Amino acid sequence: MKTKLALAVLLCLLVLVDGAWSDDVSPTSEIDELKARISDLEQKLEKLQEQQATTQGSEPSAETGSRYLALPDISLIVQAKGKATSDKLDPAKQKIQLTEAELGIQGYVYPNVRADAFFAGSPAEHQPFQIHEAYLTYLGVAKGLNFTVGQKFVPFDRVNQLHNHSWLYARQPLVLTNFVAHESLAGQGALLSYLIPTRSNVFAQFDLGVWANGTEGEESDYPPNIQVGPGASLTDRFETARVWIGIPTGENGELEIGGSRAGGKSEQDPDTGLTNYVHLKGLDVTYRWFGQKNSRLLLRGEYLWRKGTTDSNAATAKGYYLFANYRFSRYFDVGLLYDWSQFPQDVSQKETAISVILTRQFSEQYYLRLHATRGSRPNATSYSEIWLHWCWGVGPHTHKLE
Amino acid sequence: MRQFGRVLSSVLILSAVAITGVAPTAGAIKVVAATPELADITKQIGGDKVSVYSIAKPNQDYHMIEPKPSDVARIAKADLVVRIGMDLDLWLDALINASGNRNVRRGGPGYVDTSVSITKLEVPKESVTGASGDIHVFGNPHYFYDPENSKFIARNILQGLARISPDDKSAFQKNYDRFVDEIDRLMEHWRKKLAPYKNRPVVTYHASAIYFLRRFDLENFGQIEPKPGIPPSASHVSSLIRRMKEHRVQAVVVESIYPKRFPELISRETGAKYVVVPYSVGSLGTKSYIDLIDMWVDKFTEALR
Repeated sequence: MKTKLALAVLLCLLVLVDGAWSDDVSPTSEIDELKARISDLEQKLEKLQEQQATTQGSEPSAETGSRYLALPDISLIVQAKGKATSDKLDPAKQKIQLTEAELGIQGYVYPNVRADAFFAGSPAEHQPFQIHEAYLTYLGVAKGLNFTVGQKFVPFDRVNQLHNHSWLYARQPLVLTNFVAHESLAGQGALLSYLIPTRSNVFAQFDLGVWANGTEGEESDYPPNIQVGPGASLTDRFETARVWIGIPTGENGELEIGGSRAGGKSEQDPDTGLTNYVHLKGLDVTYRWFGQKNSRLLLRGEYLWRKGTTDSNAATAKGYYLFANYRFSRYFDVGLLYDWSQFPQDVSQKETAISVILTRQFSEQYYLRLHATRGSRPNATSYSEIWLHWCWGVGPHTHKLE
Repeated sequence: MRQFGRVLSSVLILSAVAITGVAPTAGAIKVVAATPELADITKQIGGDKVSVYSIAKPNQDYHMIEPKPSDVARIAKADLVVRIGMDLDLWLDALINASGNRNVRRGGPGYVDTSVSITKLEVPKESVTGASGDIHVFGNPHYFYDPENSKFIARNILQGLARISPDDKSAFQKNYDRFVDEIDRLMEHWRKKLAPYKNRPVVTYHASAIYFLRRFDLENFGQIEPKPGIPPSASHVSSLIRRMKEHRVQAVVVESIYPKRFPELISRETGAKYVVVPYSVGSLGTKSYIDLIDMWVDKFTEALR
């Protein structure tokens, strides 16, 4: 027993001595060894992180169009409007109606190829769900060049491509309704969007589109007793061109200038046998200034000219609107809109209106808007209208640069 | 029609003047960052080899950025785009798509998502609906307020810059090492400053301080917003005041972009100290990311003292 104990003590001593020896003689080599191991680990970490960085494209996000289940982004945006008006003949008077429901399905079908489709229906207008837009966008076909094919709201004027839930008012400026479309001018065809290279940080984009079967979106919710312009009447083939320039004015401001043109023809009128050849031109100026804590000032003006061969003795109709909007917090913005528009079917007649608009933004997907208008129409007394506009949505919904 | 011709000519002349303006710094790697924080960290790593532009400006809510057309022009020319990710800067996607610059698209060599490798907090475990407020499906995206996370951010940027300019990798690496050393050195100081207040409860306006609170062992008692992005309601504020009184919460810390009305009311009713912290680099006089965190630590200390 004693011998075993002595041996064990001896062994322990040997081990300790060995350890002490090694501690004494090799700290440098051990440090070197550890450094080498750290370096190895760092290299491995770097490789793994590089792999991770290159596979970022597979990370699910709303932009990639797939959450965890490879589903496209699906969204529904609904709008209801209540209208009080002094026009006794207005059938929408003192009614709250479901004016539109829009279903969006968006995603990628191939690397750099994005698909967007929007279906909309209007129970208030007795319109069933139909395709508003369905198009494919080839992103970066060449440096600065995107190509789109399908049916879409055409790039004409500053706001035609905006969906009505993105508007900053409950009803659009009158000149756009009278000259362009009751909601947005849409066409089936192809569009080239080219970002013109500039030396400074000026944005310059040129859009060129060829279209057919021009539709004018949702039918007007204006009552039949109210005179409304015919829209663009480009129901057959037409072309659009637009130059859009954005010039930064200091750190927080931006001036945008745009010029648009659309030309084409309507389908032959079955009654008169006539085809209307229409030319539309527009000039728009927008200034935006961004302040602290979500404040933003927007000033916008658009002037439009419309000439149709069968309209008002082929005279050119003119119209414009001026719009100011101030967002003073993330929850509220207030706007002022002034309208002046001739009627293409009779340029001797015009209508004007002034509106005050207040919007309460409850969340990114829900707002409530009050839009009050005082206006005058041809052959009628002045009118007053108040719109109460609810807009709400569910699901991820994105649009191009607006 | 002649009128239109005249107007169009003016537009073209104006465009020509604008288009032939001054060229940016020649030769530098052009970086577009989503926010001032990412812009500053990119400058730290890239040094004089980069020119950096931030789309969001100081004190603008990152959830609500309204992109401008000139941002598209900058991205079209950019070698590198640096984003927060986690769906906070979704507005950046429209800009990247419009720019037609394939290099900076997701998965391209010039694309950096700084949230890669970050340990994400508050990742929803249940279905996310509008009833949850403006919840981000990939978790709380305000990770950049944790100085330890700035090292991951810097590393992601370092890798992006090295992909774009491999010849400058060693210079970027040196800057990165210096940045990390500086953060490590300051972390000791920051930890010491906040150590006396370990586990003390704090109320904030929005859930943007979650990562910061966790890093410095402070308790997230609650938010003035009832749910992320939802404005405070009277019932929520009165309930918060009652709970704060019960638990003797003494600190209300509000990011500089939010309204003062409710924090002031809560402070008055509870006796809690109310301080404002900078929302972004450039807010309240901060000039760098380190300045930003430094002021956060100072302000939290002031509120908890």
